[in-house]
Amino acid sequence: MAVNLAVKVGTLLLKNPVMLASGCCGYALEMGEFFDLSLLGGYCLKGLCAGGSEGNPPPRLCETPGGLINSIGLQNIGIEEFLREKAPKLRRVNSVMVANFYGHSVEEYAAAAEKLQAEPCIAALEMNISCPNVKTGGIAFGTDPKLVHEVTAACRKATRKPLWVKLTPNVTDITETARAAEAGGADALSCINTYPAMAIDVEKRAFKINTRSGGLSGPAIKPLAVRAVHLVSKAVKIPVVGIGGISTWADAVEFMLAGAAAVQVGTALFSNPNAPLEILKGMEEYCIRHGFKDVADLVGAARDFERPDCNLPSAVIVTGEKVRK
Amino acid sequence: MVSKRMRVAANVKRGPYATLTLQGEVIPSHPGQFYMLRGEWGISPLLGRPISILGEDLARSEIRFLVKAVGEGSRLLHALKPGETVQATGPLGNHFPLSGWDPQSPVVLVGGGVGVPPMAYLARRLSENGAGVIFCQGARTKEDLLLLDEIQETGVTPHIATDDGSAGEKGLVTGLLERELEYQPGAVFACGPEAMLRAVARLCRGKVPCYVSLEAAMGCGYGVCLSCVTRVKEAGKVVNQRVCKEGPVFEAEALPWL
Ligand SMILES: Cc1cc2nc3c(=O)[nH]c(=O)nc-3n(C[C@H](O)[C@H](O)[C@H](O)COP(=O)(O)OP(=O)(O)OC[C@H]3O[C@@H](n4cnc5c(N)ncnc54)[C@H](O)[C@@H]3O)c2cc1C
Ligand SMILES: Cc1cc2nc3c(=O)[nH]c(=O)nc-3n(C[C@H](O)[C@H](O)[C@H](O)COP(=O)(O)O)c2cc1C
Ligand code: FES
Repeated sequence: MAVNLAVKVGTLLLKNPVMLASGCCGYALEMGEFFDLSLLGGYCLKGLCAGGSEGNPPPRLCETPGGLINSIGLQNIGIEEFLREKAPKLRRVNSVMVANFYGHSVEEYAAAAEKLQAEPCIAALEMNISCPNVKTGGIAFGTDPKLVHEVTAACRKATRKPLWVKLTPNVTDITETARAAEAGGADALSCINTYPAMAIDVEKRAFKINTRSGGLSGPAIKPLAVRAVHLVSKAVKIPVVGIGGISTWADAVEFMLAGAAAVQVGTALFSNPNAPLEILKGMEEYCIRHGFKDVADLVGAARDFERPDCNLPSAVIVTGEKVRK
Repeated sequence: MVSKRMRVAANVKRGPYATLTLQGEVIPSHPGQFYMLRGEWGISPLLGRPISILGEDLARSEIRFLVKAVGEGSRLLHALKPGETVQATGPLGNHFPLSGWDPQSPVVLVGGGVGVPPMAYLARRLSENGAGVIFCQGARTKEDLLLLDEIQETGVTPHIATDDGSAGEKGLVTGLLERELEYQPGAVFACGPEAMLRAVARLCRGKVPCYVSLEAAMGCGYGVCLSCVTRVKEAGKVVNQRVCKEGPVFEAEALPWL
C-alpha cells in the first residue's frame, strides 16, 4: 500500500509532514551534509533579524533530565547577509524553506517581513514572537494577545508570503494568543517555542548558563507541547505545526493525532542528525500498519476513552480538556 | 562528516580512563578533529559528548578514543561494553596544521589531561610526515600520565612533568616548554586545561606560532546550534566563532581572552 505523505499547511503543500525546527538546523546547509534536504517536508531557518545579532555570552547551553536549556540569544548573520550569502546556495533544494524572523518593535518585525519578501526561494515566513519588546520594557510580544494581534497584522501587511506565527508557551492561556494571531492574519501557527527554565550547579553554587534563565527544549517538554498543540488546534481554524521534544516517529504521530498538520524536529537533531529521516520512515510504516492511505488523516484523530465506566458526566471532570465542550 | 551507529569493538579500562575502539564506516580524519559520541542510553543525558580522535585504522574500519569518566555522559561512555552501539557523528571540526613551518625545525606538542589523546594522534601523523616532534606531557601524578607507550611507539620521546614529582620533572609542563622554546621550534601545539593553554600561549607570544585546541559546552558539535561560540579576532574585529566548526583548534594570537 502506498501512503500519501503529502500534507497541506494552509496554501502550502509539503511533500511530507516532517520539517526541521528553527535554531536547530542553522541555515540548513550543514544538515545537507548528512542527508538530502529535499527528502524533507521543509526546514525553518535560524531566526533572522535586520543587521544580525551577536547573541548572548557563553555558556549558552546546559542539560536537564531529558532536555536542554539554551540561551543562544538569537545570534544570526542578519537578513541581508543571509539573502546575499546563503539563499543562493539553497535555491536548488526542492523543499519548503521557511524563514524564521524577529524584531524588537512592531516596526522592526514588519521591516524584516518586507525584506524577506524579496527572496523567491522563501516559501513562508515564521514569526518568532518570544522576543522582548523594547517599547514595553522587554515584555515578550508573544505573551500579550493585543500585541500579538498588532505585530501579526503589521507583518501581514508587509508580506504576501504565507505567514506562520510561532507561539510561546509562556502564557496563562495559549488559546488567547493563538486566536489573536489568527485574527491578525496568520496563515498557520507553529506550536510551540521553548519553555522558560533555569538550572543551578549545586557544587559550584552557580547558574549553569550565563543569562541564568533560558529556554527548555527536548523530550522533557513533549507532553506540555502535545497539550498546547491540542488546545490551539481546537481554538483556531488555521493549521497548527507541532513542535516540542519530537525525537521518534511515535512522537511525530502523537503530535498529529493531537491536531498538528505537520511537525518540526529540533533538539533531537543534535544527538542524531538523521532523526528526521528515521521519523519519516517510521510514520510511513505506522500508516501502513494502521491502514491509513493518507498521513493527513491522522490530524486530530485522537479519541477519548470509550468504556462504560469512563462515561461519567462531564460535570465531575475536575480538570482536563474534555470538560470544555 | 556523517552520523551513524558504530559498534564497540573494545573498551579497555585503566582507572577512570577507557580506550574505546569503535568499528564501522570510518571517514579519514586529521589530528585535532573529534566525534560526538552517544550510547543508546535513553533520553538522559540527552546530548552526545565531544571526544577527540586518538587514532584510526582505515584498513580495519576502526577509530579509537580515550575517554576520562568525569560526569554522567563520560561515565556512560567509559562503561560501554563490546558489541554495544554508539551514535557517532564525525569527524568534526578543523584540525592542527600539519605543515607551514620551517621543516628543519622540530615542533613542540604540549598535552595535559584529556588533551593528551589528540596530541598523541598529532605526534603520530607528524612523525609519519617526517617532522621532528617534541612531546611534553603534564599530569598531577604518575598515575595520571596517559598514552606514554603509544607516543613512544611513534618514535617520539615524551618529556614529562608531574605536580608531585612522581614521574619526570617536578613542576608544570610549561617548565618543559620554556626550555624547548630556547631552541626555537617551528610551532607549538597545545591541548589541555584552560590554565595550561593560557600559560603556553603567554610563553609563545611574539616568539613562535602557537595553536591551541579549546573545549566548550556543545549541543550539536556540527555547527547548527551556536551553543559553543568563543570570541575570536577576525579581520580587525572580535567575532563569535563556533568551537565545533571554525575550531576546536585556534591560533592562540586570535584569542584575545586567552
Ligand atoms: C573538542 C573536544 C574534545 C574533547 N576530547 C576529549 C577526549 O578525547 N577525551 C575525554 O575524556 N574528554 C574529552 N573532552 C571533554 C569531554 O567532552 C567532557 O569531559 C565531557 O563532555 C563531560 O561530560 P560528562 O557528562 O561526563 O560531564 P558533565 O555532566 O557535563 O559534567 C560533570 C562534571 O564534570 C565536570 N567536567 C566537565 N568536563 C570536564 C573535563 N573535561 N574535565 C574535568 N571535569 C569536567 C563538569 O564541570 C561537571 O562538574 C573533549 C571536549 C571537547 C570540547
Ligand atoms: C539551540 C536552540 C536554538 C533555537 N533558536 C530558535 C530561533 O532562532 N527561533 C525560533 O523561533 N525558535 C528557536 N528555537 C526553538 C525551537 O525551534 C523549538 O521550537 C523548540 O526547541 C522546541 O522543539 P524541540 O524540543 O524539538 O527542540 C531554538 C531551540 C534551540 C534548542
Ligand atoms: S556545538 Fe552546536 S554549533 Fe557548535
